[in-house]
Amino acid sequence: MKKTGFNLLLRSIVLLPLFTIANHILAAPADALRVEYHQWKLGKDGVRQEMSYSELLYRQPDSLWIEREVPEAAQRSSHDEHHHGGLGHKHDDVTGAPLWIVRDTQGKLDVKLVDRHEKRVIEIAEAYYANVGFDGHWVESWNLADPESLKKLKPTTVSENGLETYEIQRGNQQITLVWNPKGQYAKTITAKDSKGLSGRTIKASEITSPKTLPWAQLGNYLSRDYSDLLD
Amino acid sequence: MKRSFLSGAILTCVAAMSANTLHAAEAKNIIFFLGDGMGPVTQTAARIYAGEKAGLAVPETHKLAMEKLGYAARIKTYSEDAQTTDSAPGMASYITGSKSKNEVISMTPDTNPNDPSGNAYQVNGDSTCPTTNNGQAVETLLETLKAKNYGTGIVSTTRITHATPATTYAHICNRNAENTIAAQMVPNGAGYNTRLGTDGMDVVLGGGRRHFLPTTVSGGRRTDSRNLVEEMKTAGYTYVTTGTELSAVNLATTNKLLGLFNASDLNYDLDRVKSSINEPSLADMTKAAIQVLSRNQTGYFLMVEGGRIDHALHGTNAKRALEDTLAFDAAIKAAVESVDLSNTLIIVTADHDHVMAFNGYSKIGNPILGLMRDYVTGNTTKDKQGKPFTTLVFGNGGGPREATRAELLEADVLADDYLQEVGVKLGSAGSETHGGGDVRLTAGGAGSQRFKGTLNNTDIHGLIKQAMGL
Repeated sequence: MKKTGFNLLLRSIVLLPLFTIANHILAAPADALRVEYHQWKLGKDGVRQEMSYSELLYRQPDSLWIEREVPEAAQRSSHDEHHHGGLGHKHDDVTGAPLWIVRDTQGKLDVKLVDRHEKRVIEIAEAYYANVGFDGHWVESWNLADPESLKKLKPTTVSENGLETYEIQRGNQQITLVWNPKGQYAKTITAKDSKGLSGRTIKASEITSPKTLPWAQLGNYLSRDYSDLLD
Repeated sequence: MKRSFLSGAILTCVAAMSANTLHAAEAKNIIFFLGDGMGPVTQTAARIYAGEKAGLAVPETHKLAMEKLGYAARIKTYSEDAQTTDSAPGMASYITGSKSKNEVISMTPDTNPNDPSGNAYQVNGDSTCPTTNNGQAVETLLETLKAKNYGTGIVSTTRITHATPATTYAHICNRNAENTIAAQMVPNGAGYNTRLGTDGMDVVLGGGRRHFLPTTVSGGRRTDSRNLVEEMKTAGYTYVTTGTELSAVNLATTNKLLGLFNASDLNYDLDRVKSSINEPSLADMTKAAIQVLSRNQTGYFLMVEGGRIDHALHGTNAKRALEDTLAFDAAIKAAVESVDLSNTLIIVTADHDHVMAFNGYSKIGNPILGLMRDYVTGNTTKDKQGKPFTTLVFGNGGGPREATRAELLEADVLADDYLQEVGVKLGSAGSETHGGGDVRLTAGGAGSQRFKGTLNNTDIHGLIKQAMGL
């Protein structure tokens, strides 16, 4: 009985990694996420400023769509203020417009901004990545964290459903990151500074992917480039 | 009667002398340098940045080539209908002597760029400007000189159909009708601007190939099926598309030169150098243009635009703006070294300011793109959130997509892609606006002594004509 118990323990030690590996191999990464961002800062004047927004991520192995969720009232307000037509440079407003990033087999990125209102797909050259809020990092954008970096760390806990929690100290920032190895994304990232003056939270949840992916709906869009947004 | 006759003769003689004095030609050639959006803060910051690159102990003491020109003036830039101009009337005021409404290219002040409902008079680059009751073309300095057989050339780092270069050779109610603007430069083609004579301009160097090529060609945007590159070649132009090709042209025997080095704008100078992109520098293009034009015995008009300073500022990307300002300054230096200043007038100015500000009390020698450090303690200065900030910031702009910034580090803010923080958040990428403040003008060479004091941008046209004896 004792021996059996030992065997069971041994089996579980051996099988647990196998189970985990199988999960990694067989399970497909989550193909659609909703990501909520929240940050706050406390100033020396005692004023606490908070900000939150959310984005939808549609993920294929070499394609990523990032779309800010803009409530309808805010969209309407923006459009009411602006005149539309042709390539007018003064009133182009692509605030929160979706980003579509495609990675080729060599790892080269093709970044596009999708202007649904003017029905334009705007090619973004590397020099303009920052202007559209893309830092050029495919992996971090796709996974919300770099899995290779996490491999160098040891999780502090692993939950029953396989979620790995990492505690990371970076400067005066205490970061807690929960990694979903099956879905291949950071489920939550919480960072706060040691003085309690600022904090930041990212929460991702899996959602149902649309039947038709958004990049398949751009057939009649004009092809433009970033210079069309400039005067 | 006799007395009257004598008085009349004396008066006539004095008037003639006076007129001769006013219009004696001092300058045979004019090179007009336009740093698009290069306001005073951009110029100051570029000066310090150049001083840092030169390794000066006190970078603030550096002098740009444009600042070594002997005369300086302050220029009021408002347009016909806006306190803050855009590049179209901003440049057109210099080149025509007449104000016009924003978005209008070298037309009378009554010209409207949009219909009464606010819809632009252009669709996808094609003009829909009414042919009647919407203003008249105003002659440009380039056209005036072309009619007198001067050589004429334009050089830009933007599309050559973009607002600033377009004001020299085109007339249209809406600057965005760039397909139509391109057609205005093609000798004897449909839509040609006949004020450019029978043979057109002599040198055209810049970007904007897409407005010369039909949509059937990759990247082309012309909807009328015309291939203006082929038409320009037929009209006698030597055509080049790369820096290598430009350097291979025998400029001593080339009379008509067209270089279109990018489908749209040329790359920022930072990226051109860093990624070894095969595009000529602005200095290379300027030297080539001078070499071709200076064979004209009558003289020449050359416009050189550092056009992408403006674009980087719209993107609140100070580093690329400063790098492009230095590339612009290098072109000025090359021109000063190439020409005879006893017969050539060089003017350097901007069409408008931007809203970049030089803020705080930074210590002398502090990197201009870096975090602000207090001049007394040398420590990083903090805002009320306890966070450091940069010396250069913007009054408004789009900023990065992310809603707020993280704690800034020196390495972050010195990076190529760092976007400065903005005050009023306008949201969209590239949405930082022009500024309505005055800009600087510096002048050197023949006839440059006229350019001083506080001037309206429209005054410059007349002063150049005086200097050239027109």
